[in-house]
Amino acid sequence: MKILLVRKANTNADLLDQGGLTGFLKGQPLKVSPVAWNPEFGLSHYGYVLDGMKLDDLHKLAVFVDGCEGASIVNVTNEDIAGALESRGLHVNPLA
Amino acid sequence: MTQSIIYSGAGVTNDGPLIPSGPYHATWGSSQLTGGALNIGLLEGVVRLQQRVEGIPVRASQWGQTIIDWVIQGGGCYGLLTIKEWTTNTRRFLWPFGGFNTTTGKPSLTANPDHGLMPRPGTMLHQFCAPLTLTALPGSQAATYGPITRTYPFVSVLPTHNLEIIMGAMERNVVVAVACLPVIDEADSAIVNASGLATSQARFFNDT
Repeated sequence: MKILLVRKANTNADLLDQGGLTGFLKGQPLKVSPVAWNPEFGLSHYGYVLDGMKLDDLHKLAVFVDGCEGASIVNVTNEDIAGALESRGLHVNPLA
Repeated sequence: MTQSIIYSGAGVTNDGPLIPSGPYHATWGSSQLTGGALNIGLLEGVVRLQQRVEGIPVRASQWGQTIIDWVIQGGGCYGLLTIKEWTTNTRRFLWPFGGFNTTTGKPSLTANPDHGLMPRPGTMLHQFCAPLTLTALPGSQAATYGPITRTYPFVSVLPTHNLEIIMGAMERNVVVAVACLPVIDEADSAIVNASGLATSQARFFNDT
């Protein structure tokens, strides 16, 4: 199961370390901004694609993210990353 | 230095008080349903988002009419906003009915609406729903404290609400009430269920 973890850019900079999630990170963090913003306004969020988690890891992730202000998780098994971001009014910042 | 009264409270830092004020920009639609997120332009005043839990009170003879608990029976989300612009986008948002896909025989949100047409009785509202996305103005307090975006996946004009279209020598502000329909929570169904924590729950919106 692939998970997209999104956090606000100005909070929880060490989210992956705190949650013990670094080992599940696939690729580089996504630099994200609202679709409605001019890309020059900068980033609003960072996105992390996490993969290879077992059920126990998912359980811990769900509980951990519930306690993190400004962070949320999306299951992206059946939809692409861009679609998951779009459904939240976000996209990868084209200038980042 | 004289401090502003709103900065003088105990525990308040130089960052200012945690008042998440700031304007929000609104779009309705998605690339799949309406051919893109439609900018519904300038708004009059604020966007009012409403949500409530439905329930029935529990009483017991030993306690008379005292409500000792509630049985939760679901809930609902609604919104109230005032459209200032009269464009194709805002008219599609105000009245998403009248479009028809001649191939599928189903209502279509990609066609321009016909404000004179009413959906056939028995048609379900969700066929006319599309995502409503509110985005905080960059640099505003709201963009700092959030939510930076709030997205309602299924939104359409609220049945029984009277749209009042002003025709005269003044602004054509249109107050529109919207119904927000729920979806099965993705994280809940995919992650929480997989880890055995809970059963599916209804989700009305996502904040980021």
